[in-house]
Amino acid sequence: MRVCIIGAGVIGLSTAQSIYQHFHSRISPLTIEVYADVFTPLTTSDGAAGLWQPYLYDKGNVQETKWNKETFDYLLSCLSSPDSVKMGIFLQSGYNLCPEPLPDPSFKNAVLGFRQLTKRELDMFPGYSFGWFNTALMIEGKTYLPWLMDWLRQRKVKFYQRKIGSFKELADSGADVIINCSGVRSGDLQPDPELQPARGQIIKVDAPWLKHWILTHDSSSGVYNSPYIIPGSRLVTVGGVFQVGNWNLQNSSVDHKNIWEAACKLEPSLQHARIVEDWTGLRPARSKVRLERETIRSGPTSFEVIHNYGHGGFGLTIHRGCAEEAARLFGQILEQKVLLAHSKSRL
Amino acid sequence: MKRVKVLVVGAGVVGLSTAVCVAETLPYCSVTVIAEKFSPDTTGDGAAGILLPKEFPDIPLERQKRWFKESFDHLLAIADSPQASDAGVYLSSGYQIFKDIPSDKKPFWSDFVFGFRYMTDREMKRFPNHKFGQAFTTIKCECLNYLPWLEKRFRAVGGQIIHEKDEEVYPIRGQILKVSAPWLKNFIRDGDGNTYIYPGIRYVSIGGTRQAEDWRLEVDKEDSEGILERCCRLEPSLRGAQVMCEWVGLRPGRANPRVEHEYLHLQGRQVPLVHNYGHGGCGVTLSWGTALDALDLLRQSLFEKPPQARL
Repeated sequence: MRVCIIGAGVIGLSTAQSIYQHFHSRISPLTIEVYADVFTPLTTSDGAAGLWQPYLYDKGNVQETKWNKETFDYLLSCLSSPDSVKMGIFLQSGYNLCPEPLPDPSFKNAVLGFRQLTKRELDMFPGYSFGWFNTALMIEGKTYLPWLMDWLRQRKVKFYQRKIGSFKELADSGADVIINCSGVRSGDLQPDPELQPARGQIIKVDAPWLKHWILTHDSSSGVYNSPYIIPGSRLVTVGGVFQVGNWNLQNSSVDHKNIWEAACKLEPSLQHARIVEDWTGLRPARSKVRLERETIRSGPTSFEVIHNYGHGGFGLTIHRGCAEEAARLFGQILEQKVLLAHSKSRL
Repeated sequence: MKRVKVLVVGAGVVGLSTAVCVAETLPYCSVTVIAEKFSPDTTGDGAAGILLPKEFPDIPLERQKRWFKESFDHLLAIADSPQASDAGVYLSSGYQIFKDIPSDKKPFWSDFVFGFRYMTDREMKRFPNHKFGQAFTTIKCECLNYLPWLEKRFRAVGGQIIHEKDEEVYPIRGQILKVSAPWLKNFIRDGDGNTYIYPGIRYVSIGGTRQAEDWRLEVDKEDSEGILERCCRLEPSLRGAQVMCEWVGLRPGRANPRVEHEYLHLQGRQVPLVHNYGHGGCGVTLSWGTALDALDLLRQSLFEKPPQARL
């Protein structure tokens, strides 16, 4: 069985991991290959701050809430392993701030110690009269992705730096199953009007006295278009913008100025922080995650594709739950192939 | 009014805080700090600087509350300002965990820190040897930054500094290790006070020891091993952390801090003497509140009639 995964961001790599974990002892040989034109540290996952937090409300996407929670529980269990530092996982507490009262968020039971903010705490943040405090997990792409690649390499997964032009290209070369984890550029492989870039720009600063993440929410400007400050293991990530339809990967000085001013108002001590660099990434935004099978006809034959893309600004947050689901779909494909093999042999 | 000369003995966190309080509040005082040790050689410089008081046996609770609240509020204003990084003052969240359920689950200071609550069962899962825990957000004040920052403030209002040897109290020796573990953001403290992990600006302080009457300033290797073993058990990710250095400090131990005034008969005059020492491991925690108290005592002693000198 030859599995070809397109994309080496957190989605592609974790899907490879889940498939290996569930099937390497059940199918022999199981060849897993990852194809991508960019690898860590140049993927979208590498630039993300790495805070585990879904959007405030799932708008009925209960599947996504389940996958998010699965990911949190999985990462939490990894915390006590000796690999936690090498995986880039650690706990951090912080604040979600709103200008007016909001219903409890979808993740309130997934995180640790969720509570409302007291009035005294809110006094620290002029302009915000409501919010929550909780302890969540950080998962830094720049560390997690190399760790995943190492993990996969040790288990003989192969990596190819190549831009794949079409699913058919891989199918023709003999792939049994193709897994599409190509993120924001999935439209190049198969048009999807629901998939759009949501451009984000961040500023990385040296401010090691900051020990809490601070996310603000403004219903009028929308998710991630409001300032956020997320300390990492070395630098602090300051954002943000969420510009739907903007494919521009260049840093914008206008965005920089707006982001910086808003963040300094939120956290005055930032004024003395040393700015290290800006970075721009394109979130693969979609109305909901596309995680499903597709059988594609190619002349007399057909091949199987599993789509796993469109994770917006919550790829790291949801990755494990989606990888496990993709593995489950892969299992379905295997069962059908076995049934097919049986029915063919009964002639 | 004639200019009053005030001498503050000691340039640690309590001394400098007291000197700043007096110099900024009483314009008719000219204040001089006299000390042997200055930052970075004071005891506070090695302390993690987490604001966390203990309850003293003989001081009225209202007074202890006032000491802590005033220190907390003063530092919070700094943490909330552009000066925060210069002064080394910032918010720190974390846990205090107990192997046995303490008699006092909600201490007097729980109202003054932020978001004090008991830890949830899920949170306690990380600490299988502990039965109970408290979670809260407090302030961390790093003296390596704070003391020079206070000194600048002191000089800005005309304060003077003299280098000379000062008084001694009984020591409570404490050893810590400074390790590099920048992924740690929350503190963890065992309620028995002997094991703690405090993430700082450039390193994490892990400790500790509490050895009364022990004057040794040298590092004790067995203490280091014990600290590493206990802290790694609470926080396994520390196993890979690089130890940057070890440090020993002598807490100014006393049953209760001494914040009171008396008169010294010197050269035919009654000279007011205000004591503000013996804060043990609570120097940073109570520095500003006790400094304000000392300021009040100073004002009192400048305006009341001193007792008649005995002939």
